[in-house]
Amino acid sequence: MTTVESTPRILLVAAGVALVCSLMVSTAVELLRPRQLAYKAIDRTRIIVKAAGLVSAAELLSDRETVSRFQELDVRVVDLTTGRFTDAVDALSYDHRTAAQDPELSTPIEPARDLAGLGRRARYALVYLLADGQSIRRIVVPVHGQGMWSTIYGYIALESDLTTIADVVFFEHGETAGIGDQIESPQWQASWRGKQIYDQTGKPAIAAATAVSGRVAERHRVDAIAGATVTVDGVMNTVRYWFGEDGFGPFLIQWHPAQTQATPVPEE
Amino acid sequence: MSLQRVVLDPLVSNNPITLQVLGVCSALAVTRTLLPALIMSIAVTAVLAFANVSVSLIRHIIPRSIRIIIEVTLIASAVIVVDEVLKAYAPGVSRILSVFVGLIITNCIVLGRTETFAMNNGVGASLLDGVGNGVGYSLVLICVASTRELLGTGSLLGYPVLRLVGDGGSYVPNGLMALPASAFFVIALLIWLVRSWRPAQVEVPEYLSRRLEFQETA
Repeated sequence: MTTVESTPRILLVAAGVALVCSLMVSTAVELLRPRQLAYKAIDRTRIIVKAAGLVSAAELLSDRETVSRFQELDVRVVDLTTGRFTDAVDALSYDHRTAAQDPELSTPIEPARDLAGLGRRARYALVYLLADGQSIRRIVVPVHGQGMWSTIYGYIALESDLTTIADVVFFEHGETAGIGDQIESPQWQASWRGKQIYDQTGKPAIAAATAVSGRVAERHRVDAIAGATVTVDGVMNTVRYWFGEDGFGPFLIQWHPAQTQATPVPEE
Repeated sequence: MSLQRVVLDPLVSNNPITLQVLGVCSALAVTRTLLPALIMSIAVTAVLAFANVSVSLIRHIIPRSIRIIIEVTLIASAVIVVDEVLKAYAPGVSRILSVFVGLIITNCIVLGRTETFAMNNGVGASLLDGVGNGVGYSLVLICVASTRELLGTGSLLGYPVLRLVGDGGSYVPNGLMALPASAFFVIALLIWLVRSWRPAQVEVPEYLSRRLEFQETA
């Protein structure tokens, strides 16, 4: 038994087991990744279709139906610095998560303005337009920002007035199970519907009603979640950041109904 | 011990949950409805079988001083693989189970079986022991989850069984069953039932066993 217990032997067995196990794990991860990514992509599509109001709550869409309804949406790339549509990147392959890490496609955010705790912001973002002839019915924009433990990802859909919330979906996060993950609950997300993002001065005014936030006008007020103050604050800051000057603000303001009566589908 | 007993014993007479009261945390967490409980059962059984077989295969070359580390490494690798498979083939359920698949690593049943059985027995017997204990765990999970889903929502696997008051039936769903605490009650009732049926499983209360020890030493 002394040979089994000798130090070189211990190291050898440990290294051998570690090698075999790591091979097993990495092979499994590598083989299964395409399937997982395909699922993620269809799941993302399903969320956008739901936010755009192309599916009712009770309806269960197959993958194929999901994709065909997604076709009804007009996917456009927005240059966040100018607020204009652009063809600089391909809307089909553009991924703003990876772009936010790419020094060529993103810029650092000044810490004082970094409400969403992102560090960097990609220059381009995808938006999804649901057009009705010549006017916009709904517009879905992606948002993401820091919650308590993790980055929260979601989509916000606006009505044609570009300030009333039609729907919100927060679909990916690593918040506390049972507390912070209530941001995923359909009831809470439904409580956003009909709220106004912007106040009269055109500043994002949406806020959660908490003891510290003080009075929030009813039309800008979203219920807080008990025990999840940091998570909800993160969500609110994320939304205010993305609808503010550094986010979609310049893009949304240029065809705001206050400026043109019927919201036209903007020319490229 | 005959091979038949290796695989059949953990079902009732040496059940890891009702007799050994191991692995209770996951049994509480994933039994709100039947489907996640079924998937969790399969996952734990697969991990148990793999861990037992692999530990048993290399049991003669594992140095005793690092045996627990080796066992946990093998268990953890199996759990990661199972988790990845679920994410690829059952993503919906994988989301419901969330951290609990990863927490199979800390399920005392798995380390318990590799340490007490697979380290000392052949590959075939270890495989049967792993499967037996996995099925024993699964039986309890399925009992608890069926009870909770049926009484809590009136359906099983999502299919309506009891007609709810809201749909013109007469069953009022018991909201308590949807809460985690009800899993405690159901498991406790199950342990009570099993021990009434097999009184040999009833343990001597600790204060009595202490008194016996004391009398013996005195």
